[in-house]
Amino acid sequence: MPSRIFIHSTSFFHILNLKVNFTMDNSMAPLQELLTDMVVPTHRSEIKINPEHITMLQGTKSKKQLSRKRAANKSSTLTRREYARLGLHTLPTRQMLYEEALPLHKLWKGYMREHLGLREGDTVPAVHEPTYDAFSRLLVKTDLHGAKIRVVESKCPTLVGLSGIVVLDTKNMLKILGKDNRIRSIPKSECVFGMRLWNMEFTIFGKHLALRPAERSVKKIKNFIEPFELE
Amino acid sequence: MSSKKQQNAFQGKECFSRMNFLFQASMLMAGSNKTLAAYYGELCKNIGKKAVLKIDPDVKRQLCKRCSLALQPGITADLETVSQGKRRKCSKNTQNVDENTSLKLTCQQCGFKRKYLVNSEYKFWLENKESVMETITVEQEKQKIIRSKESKTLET
Repeated sequence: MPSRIFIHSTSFFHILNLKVNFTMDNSMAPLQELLTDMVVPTHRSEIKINPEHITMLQGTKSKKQLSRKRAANKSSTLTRREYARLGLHTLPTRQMLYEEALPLHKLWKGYMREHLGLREGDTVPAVHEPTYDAFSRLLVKTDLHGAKIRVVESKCPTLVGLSGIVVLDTKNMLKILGKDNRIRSIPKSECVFGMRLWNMEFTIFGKHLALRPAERSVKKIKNFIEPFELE
Repeated sequence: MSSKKQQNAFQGKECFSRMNFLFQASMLMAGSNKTLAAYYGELCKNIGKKAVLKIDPDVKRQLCKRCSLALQPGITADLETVSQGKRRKCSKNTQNVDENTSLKLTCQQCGFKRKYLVNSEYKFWLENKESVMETITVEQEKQKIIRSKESKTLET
């Protein structure tokens, strides 16, 4: 028995009913041949194929799709995926040296002096003084990048005593570069941090720092600055 | 009263000083660690967005628009002159700088290109004298001035 190709009846009629378009692309020619071969010889003269009704699975794309892609490449914003591909999320734990962060610390010292309006020999206002409130409000709003920080107290005993220069400050984490050239991440919310500036010693509760760093300098701070104990 | 008024006049002082610090930090880290530099740059921009403060165009142009890396020509960016129009002619004598010449700054990290026209007649609005509404001296500077005056009086 010779093998036969069966065409589903509806699709067969569909091809026949397609309406006039005589001009065909070169790429369509072999397809047209194939289709005409499949039709019963008596009906072959009636075949008209509209190329708009045919979508090729390979090769050609419509012009619209191409132009859209080009526009996306030019855009000035990075998507998160592109951002990650550039390696901007990764901060390897053992590549930075402690010495590299020292100029940052120096810069930070100058910034703190300007920000807090300090002069050498100034002391921290005590709780009962009127300037205490404004001062502590300023202190919470400071930028921590470049600060030399020490974990004074924590729920997690292994974190206590770690010290180093703050390199990255995110909502819930501080990344600290220790003297052993290693970057450690420390959760803010469970820790109490100690910070030293000239002759002053600050203690900051990490609970109050747990905001997005850009938001922290804008957000209005209500009464949570009193030195309460950590629960 | 006057001191209080002046303090109120300089709104967003903390944010400005923080942005200034972050920009400097970003410039500092640009050579050694690009991740950090980009992070600081982006934070600097974000604070400006949050607090609705405007960054000076000269400063803004030093951060990449796309990945906010601090752009230092030679270290993190490429700077070249491009002349539009008569390309072939200009390539022969590259020293000529006319209105058609523009500076092209390419970020080495994300490859973002920006063109700036070199036009000596064009000025920012901020460069005009009319744009300056008032000048504020920060308290520390005031104190310095006072101190210097005191020392002068002591000497005499």
